[in-house]
Amino acid sequence: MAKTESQKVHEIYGLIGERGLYVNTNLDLFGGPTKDVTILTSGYTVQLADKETYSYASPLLFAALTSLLNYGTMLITGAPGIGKTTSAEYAGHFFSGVPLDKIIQAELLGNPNLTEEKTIAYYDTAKLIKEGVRSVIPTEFLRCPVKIWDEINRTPPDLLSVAMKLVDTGKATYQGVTLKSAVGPLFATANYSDEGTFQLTAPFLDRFDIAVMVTSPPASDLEKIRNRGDEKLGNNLENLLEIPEGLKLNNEQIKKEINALPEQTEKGIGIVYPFIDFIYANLRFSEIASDNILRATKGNAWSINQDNAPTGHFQDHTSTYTINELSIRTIRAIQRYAKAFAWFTGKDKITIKDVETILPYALWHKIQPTKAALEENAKFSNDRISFVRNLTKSIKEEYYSLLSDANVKFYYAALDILKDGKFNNQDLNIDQVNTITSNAIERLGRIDKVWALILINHLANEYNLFINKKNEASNTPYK
Amino acid sequence: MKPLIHPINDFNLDEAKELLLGPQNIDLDRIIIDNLAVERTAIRESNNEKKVYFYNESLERLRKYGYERHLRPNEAFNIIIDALEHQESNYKEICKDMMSSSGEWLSIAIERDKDFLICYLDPEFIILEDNNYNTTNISSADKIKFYIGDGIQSNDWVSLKEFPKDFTAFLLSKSFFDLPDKMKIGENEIRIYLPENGIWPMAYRHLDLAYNIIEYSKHSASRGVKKYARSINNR
Repeated sequence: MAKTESQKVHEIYGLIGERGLYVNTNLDLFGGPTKDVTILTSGYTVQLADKETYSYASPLLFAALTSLLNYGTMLITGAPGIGKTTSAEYAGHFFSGVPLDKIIQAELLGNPNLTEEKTIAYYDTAKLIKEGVRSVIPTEFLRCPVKIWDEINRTPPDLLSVAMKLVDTGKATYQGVTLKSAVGPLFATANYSDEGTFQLTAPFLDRFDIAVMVTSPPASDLEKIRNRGDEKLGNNLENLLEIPEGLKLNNEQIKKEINALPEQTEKGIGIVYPFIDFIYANLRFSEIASDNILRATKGNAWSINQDNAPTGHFQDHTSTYTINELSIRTIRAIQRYAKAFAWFTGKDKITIKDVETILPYALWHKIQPTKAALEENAKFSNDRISFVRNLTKSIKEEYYSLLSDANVKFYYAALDILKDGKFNNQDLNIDQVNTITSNAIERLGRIDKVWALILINHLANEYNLFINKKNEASNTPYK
Repeated sequence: MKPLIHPINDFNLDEAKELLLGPQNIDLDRIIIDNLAVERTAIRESNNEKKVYFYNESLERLRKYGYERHLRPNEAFNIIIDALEHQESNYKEICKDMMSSSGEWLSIAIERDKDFLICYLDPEFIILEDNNYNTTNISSADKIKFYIGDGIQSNDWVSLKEFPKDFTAFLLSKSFFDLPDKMKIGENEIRIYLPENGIWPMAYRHLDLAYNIIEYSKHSASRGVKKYARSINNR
């Protein structure tokens, strides 16, 4: 029987490790349930996979998934010399089918002397001199389907702003000419800060769909790396780079399959996207931003943020653990990678667990923890992945406590009325709809939780839209 | 228009709409223990130990005596907490009877579904067949699903403080930390013993060694309860 595309991707993933090309058994990501075992003396925890659960190393796994998406963008951070660039190069080669030589040739190395001409495009000088025509030639980097920007944080900030558009849209502008880069992934590596690096800004980091922290391979992996052979002693890697005939990927088919994956449903209602939306709503809330619920968002807390705000009413809420909110771009990336991960692990639908699994990697480089969060656990300052994982756990608990609350029925009931203004197939008058909405808001308002405010805000918006529609239908003059 | 959240419980939306439409917007969720007539003593054997029944047998027995059902968990704990907290509590005697000898049935069945607990309130049709409960035809007054996370073990005594607050409030009408010391400190800590598979009726038990336990059970003692309507003249 012919292999499915996801089986082939799995096999390639395994092959890269078996051939000793990327060896790292820091298996930090799981395709199914696990059991935590806490070490009593030190408090550290190890995760043990349940039977039928596969475990993966996040750098290679996400490099694989990123290679399978159109214009996927991935940031790879970590100490120097532990396989950041290697994972991107091999994943790019094996999952996109681009020869490794071509990938390496097109690679950019961040440095203070990098210019637009070396990065994006340059004029065809021969043509300019001979014919006086300004013809723009895209760089190898732009033309290569697998783009690797090594040590990106050594690139000067003004060039990074040019790169921002490229990372975001796959397009770049040179001297007024917009160029479309070859479809494929973009990997950027960044060492931790030193005297030669520039600070990557929050808007720039937000452009990366996913990010991993590469950890040095454990000592037990070194034997396998030694066995691969040493290129500097004349060992040839050519045959190790060969992609077996039966494992050539149909990338278009893969994208179609990933895109078609539906979300898990309960009683016919999708349950995954509402969970993502709740995370967005929860992290977006900022009490200090405004007394108006509509403007009570972190994006509006521009003068006083969560770190320098006086103590508010909601002191222990998950929203108080982050300074910033999530962009729409991030929400779309979460959905995209959750789909890709579910597909990779052979599921026929995305589950909440898939979202939980990829979320730390989609958010850790974007979310800024507050002082309060870091005071709870100073290690979160280094290990942002654990920070997001803990945050996600708390948000999930809050989400399900909301779903279990009996008062939520008033939200559903009012929303149902606002659909068409009917109850038991009879039209309600506007006063009755107003009574229902006001009473539902009053009932939800008894719950002293941020999520109650989120639901109240939704009801108020839907009610106002309902009145707009009624007014339009009855040609009520604008006032 | 789609709700922002997905429902995990089957709410009666028509009833909720009626409530929202009515000017009084009455709070129907609160259970008032004063409106319940509770069987004062559980049936005992000649050796003074409580007589134990299978769940459906117990339900049959109490109905024969004019009661409607077993005590719901929050009702049972309202009695116990009141008796523990107040010297002059009316429930001292009932509480003493409840806390002695074998555990007693509660009007709840619980099913473990991975990270969730499904609670069947006032369950019916839990039938003993071949020494096991058959719950194929179970019905209940309410079915409520709680998320409990992935760290809670089944078949183990787990303190209620490990559970989300909403589940604890549902069972006890109080948060764990608002319980009397005799239910939350040291060995007294109230614990729950959950089933791993299937739907199981639950019972409350107090051990002499000072454990308070809610556990799934095959046979427990029987205590009936019925609502009584208060007329205006009785107030």
